[in-house]
Amino acid sequence: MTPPNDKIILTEALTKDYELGAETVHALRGVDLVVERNEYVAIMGPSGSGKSTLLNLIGCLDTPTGGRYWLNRQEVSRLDDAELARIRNREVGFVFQTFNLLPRATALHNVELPLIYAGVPAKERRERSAVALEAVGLADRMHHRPNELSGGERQRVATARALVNNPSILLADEPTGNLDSTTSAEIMGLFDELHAKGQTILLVTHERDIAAHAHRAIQLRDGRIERDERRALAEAIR
Amino acid sequence: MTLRGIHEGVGIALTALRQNKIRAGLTVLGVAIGVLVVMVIAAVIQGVNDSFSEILEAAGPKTFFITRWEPGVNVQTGLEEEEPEFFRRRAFRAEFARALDRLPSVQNAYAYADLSWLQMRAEAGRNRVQIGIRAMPVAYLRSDLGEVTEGRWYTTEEDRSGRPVVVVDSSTARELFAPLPAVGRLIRIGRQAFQVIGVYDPPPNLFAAGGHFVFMPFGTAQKHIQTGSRWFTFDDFIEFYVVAEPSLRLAAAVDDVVGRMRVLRKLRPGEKDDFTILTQDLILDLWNRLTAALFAVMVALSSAGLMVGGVGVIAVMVVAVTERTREIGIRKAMGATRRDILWQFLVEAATMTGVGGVIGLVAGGAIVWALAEWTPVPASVPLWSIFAALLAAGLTGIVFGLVPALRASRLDPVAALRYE
Repeated sequence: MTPPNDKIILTEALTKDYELGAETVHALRGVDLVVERNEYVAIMGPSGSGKSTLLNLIGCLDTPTGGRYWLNRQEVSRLDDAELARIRNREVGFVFQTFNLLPRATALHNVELPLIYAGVPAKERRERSAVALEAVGLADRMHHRPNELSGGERQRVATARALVNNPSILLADEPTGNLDSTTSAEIMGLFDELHAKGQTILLVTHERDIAAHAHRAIQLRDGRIERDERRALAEAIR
Repeated sequence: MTLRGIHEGVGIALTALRQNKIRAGLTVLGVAIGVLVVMVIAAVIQGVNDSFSEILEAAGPKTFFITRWEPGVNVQTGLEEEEPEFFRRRAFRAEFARALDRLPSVQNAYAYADLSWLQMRAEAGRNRVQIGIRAMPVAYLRSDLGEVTEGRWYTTEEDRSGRPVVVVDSSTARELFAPLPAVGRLIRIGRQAFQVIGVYDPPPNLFAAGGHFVFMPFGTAQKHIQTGSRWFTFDDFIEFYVVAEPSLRLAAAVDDVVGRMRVLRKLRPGEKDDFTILTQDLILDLWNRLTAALFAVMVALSSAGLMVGGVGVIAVMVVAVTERTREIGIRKAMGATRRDILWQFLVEAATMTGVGGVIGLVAGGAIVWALAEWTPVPASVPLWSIFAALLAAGLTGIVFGLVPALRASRLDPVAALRYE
């Protein structure tokens, strides 16, 4: 079975258990989720509800205990380690709460990272990374290291890095969690822009006003989808 | 990963070296010592080999020696119940040479005595030096002599009559007589005065090295030299060298010489030879055995150094992997495969030991140069030792870095990203 072209994410009864000492934690208890191209989805829920676990599975950082998962029409729940690395490299862009930039590398080098693992030649790598940094408004910050950048600037570098390989999906785990409200608004503005250009975005957050940027909100509780709401188009556009 | 990855890994490694100075320094030092030992010993063996074959070539393949001593590397601990049999062998007599000389398969046979390890004192006025006496026939092969640069070599007549004349090396001449010329002057050895008739310039060669030498006719030494030792008389040092008839096989001459020596020594049939024939093949064989022993020492010493380096590699890399767990998580999230991560850390480890290898090469090269320049030990770096040393250094990094690198490559990306 191959899902139709426009279903970029399709999961079927996805489960994830963790062994925590003698105890088994059921982080996900059967998640069926369909995300279509160019959707803008917020995943919400109290801590421990499984939202980060879901995002990690979707991003192929982790493999499910049970169920199936197709990303961009390819079943990835059966792939081995090297193939998952390739999927992460080509199909997924990550933005983290704590930015996760390499501290000793310049902004440019950080953005180059996915291209290095994609095997892009050095010259092209630099050019594409420079373009990606310009797109997030950091043309003049390319040769700064993370500790010379503000929080907002760091998250822009991370976003440029996530997008430099033209992934199918952009995954953001609490992208504004370490930012003040002004900078948060800036980053969310950037995300809105990306979405307007056709990017599929999933973001995990527990803040309603951040979730409000998305067009669809999925509420998780105890490892299951509790609510899945699509906002009316008029409301979404604002 | 490709060359790009290697380039990046080398960069990271050099940064890491700067950040973990002590651990990395120890690692580098260990590898450097390992490499240095390989270099120096290989260079010395090479150099001594060159000297050795020069001597053998100069002596000619048809020359062999007769000695009372058992050849080989004899290690005496002083605790043996009994001294070796050859310690009790009777001294040779100089007249044997004439008897051997008459053999049809022998072109020439000479008696000589090398007393150089006795180290006697030579005086001229207020100057004195320790010298080694070599009582050699007039026809002495002059390969370890170099050239007589002042004066002349001695004559058959001087040998026959035992005239007190000597030929000294240039450093002895300098120390006794400088700034005046040595030729024509007298030096005193024991109670006897000898006239210096020639000065020679020794070529750099290990076997002629190690101090001051005085050459004199064998007849002169026989007449005038007392060993001054309770244990050895001059006769104890008498040995022979024989030049076989060139048109015959060497073995024929050896057989004849053995037969004649047994007669001269009055050995009964069935009794063991109380002398040893040293052919060049035998000498070469002995030499090769000694070289092998040196090689074993080299391998042992350099393995010790590389082992220290290896343990250092493990320490540095384990710390590096732990410190950079998060970085590994980031790289994995960005698409790095296990192999990419493995490579990164292996390249890093190999770079670290490679730096040690280069330092060892440079230091070893300097030592070899100093040896060749300022000591009589000949040394030249064989090309293979450079490759062997660098290979050993790199392999040390890769072998010892493998476990930490494997650990890094197998980190779970989610856990690694969460690592504080």
